[in-house]
Amino acid sequence: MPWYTVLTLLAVVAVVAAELLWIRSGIFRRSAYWIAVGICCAFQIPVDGWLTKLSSVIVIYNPEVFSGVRIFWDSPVEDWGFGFALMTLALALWVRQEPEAGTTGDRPAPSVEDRVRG
Amino acid sequence: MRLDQFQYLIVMALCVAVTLPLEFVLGARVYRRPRRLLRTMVPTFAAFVAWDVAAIRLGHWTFSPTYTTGWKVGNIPVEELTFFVVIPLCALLSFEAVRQVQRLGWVGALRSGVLGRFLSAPVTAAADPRSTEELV
Repeated sequence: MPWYTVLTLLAVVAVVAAELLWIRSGIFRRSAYWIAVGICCAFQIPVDGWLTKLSSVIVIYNPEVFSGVRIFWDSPVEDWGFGFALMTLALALWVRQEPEAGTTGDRPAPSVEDRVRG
Repeated sequence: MRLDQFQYLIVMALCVAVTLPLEFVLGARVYRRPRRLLRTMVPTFAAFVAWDVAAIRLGHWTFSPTYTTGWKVGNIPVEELTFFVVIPLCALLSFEAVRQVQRLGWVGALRSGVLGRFLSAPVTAAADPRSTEELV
């Protein structure tokens, strides 16, 4: 049973649902979020690659629990779903703590309240 | 202990080192909001460590004794615990750095960082509202 594949899909759906229904930070409407995720996914190639390259593997995946699809330096394709869920949850919780969280578009200059509350 | 056993931890240290300039050169202000950072990291860390504990227990993944220290908390290698702190930090720093550049432009973002003093006009508190230290 490809449990890692299943759990990764569930995690992505759960985090997106949590953001849309509960956290409501509005990150999906911000270009900065998508640019940052893009940058991090690009850096994930060498970082994850170093951890998963089969020539000298550090994190060893049970072949029975994932799709078997390995990209770049042998990283299971599921790792990108895992990374997306991890980064998105952190960013949603971070942005939610802004006074003007949930507004559309990028923020105007920070207010006094922002400076005090961080 | 052989140096190879620190490979995973060295990768994590490099992630911290590579993203550190975002905080101080581009003025991302993530480390300087410790309370907000803690309130972000704790739930994220808890959720993903729970997944990791279960996955390790169920044999979804294991760790090379050649490239890890063998130091563990319960069944989790310290490298994994580090991972769930470092990767969200990298994401937050990237996001705040992108936003800082969007807001102030490259020159403005650089001026808001530690190199700002070397860039032509000095930054005044009025020109850069973020220069005031945040309390949280």
